[in-house]
Amino acid sequence: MQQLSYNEFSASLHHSLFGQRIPVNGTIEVTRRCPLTCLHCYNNLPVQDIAARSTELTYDEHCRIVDEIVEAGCLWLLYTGGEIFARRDFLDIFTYAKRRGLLITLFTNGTLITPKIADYLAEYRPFSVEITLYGRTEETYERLTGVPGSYAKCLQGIRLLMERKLPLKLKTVAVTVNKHEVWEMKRFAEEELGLEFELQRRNTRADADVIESARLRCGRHCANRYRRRRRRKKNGNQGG
Amino acid sequence: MKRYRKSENVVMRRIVEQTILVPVTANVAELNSIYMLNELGTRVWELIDHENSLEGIVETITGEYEVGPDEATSSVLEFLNSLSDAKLIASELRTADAATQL
Repeated sequence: MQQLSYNEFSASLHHSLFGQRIPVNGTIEVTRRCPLTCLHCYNNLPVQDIAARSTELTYDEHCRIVDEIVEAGCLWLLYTGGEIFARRDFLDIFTYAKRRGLLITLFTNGTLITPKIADYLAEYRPFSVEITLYGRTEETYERLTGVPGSYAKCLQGIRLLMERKLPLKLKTVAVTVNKHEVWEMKRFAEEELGLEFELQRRNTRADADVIESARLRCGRHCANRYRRRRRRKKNGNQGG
Repeated sequence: MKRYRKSENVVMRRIVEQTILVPVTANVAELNSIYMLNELGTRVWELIDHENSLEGIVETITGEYEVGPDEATSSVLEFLNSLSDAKLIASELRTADAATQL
């Protein structure tokens, strides 16, 4: 079995897709609700907001969308919010997408991650999880998030995922309130926790070397060596 | 005779000309691994259906590709072993009166 780095795999796939207009990356915002009230955020309606909840896509609608994007060739899917775990059925949506063969990245603030959720993610392993850290001190973090106790919950979420060796990255958004702690957050993530850290930006996956891939070849040589004797009937199996 | 079946916890994706096996749960394959199959590997994967034996798969492959039975057997067996090592497939021996899980 030939081992490829993730970057080699990604480059190989993107090379083969070049110019073909295949939507290989996708992003779905599952909710606009969030338990935090961050100063900079435009997307943090209250978790209990019934009106907001009523406008969210249902589980069945999410499944239909996943079916459509898989059919169209999507491989990397990002779930974000709001806070994804503000939806009680998020893991159901996530699992459906996993079972369709998507490589899934999760954006979360980490504050709603419980041991049960972490155990589940250890079983249905996401491609990547990214937690936003809003400060290195409780005072700064909660001044930005507006929620007492949220700093400890965030650290607990980080710990729960790290204990299960999930592919976790930390990031931050630098604003006036926390800009003096950015370098300390970076040091905390990289040196104390051994995690990758970045200032938040939109593209999050393409350069992440977080997954190994393997090229499985049948035969000692590339399959091209064996010329086809006859054309096989296509079976139409395009999706997962 | 040994038969092969795919793990329920791996999904095959076809994206244009690329075939990828994506593990769904942590108990299959190595953590953080995905697998790309070449053309022949893809065809063998399609033939793993719980009923096909090594001999049956080789017979189909030699019928479709210009390769002799000995080389095909060696190549397919090596490939199946790789899949098995990665827990992407399982095999079982079938006898007349019972199936033995390996």
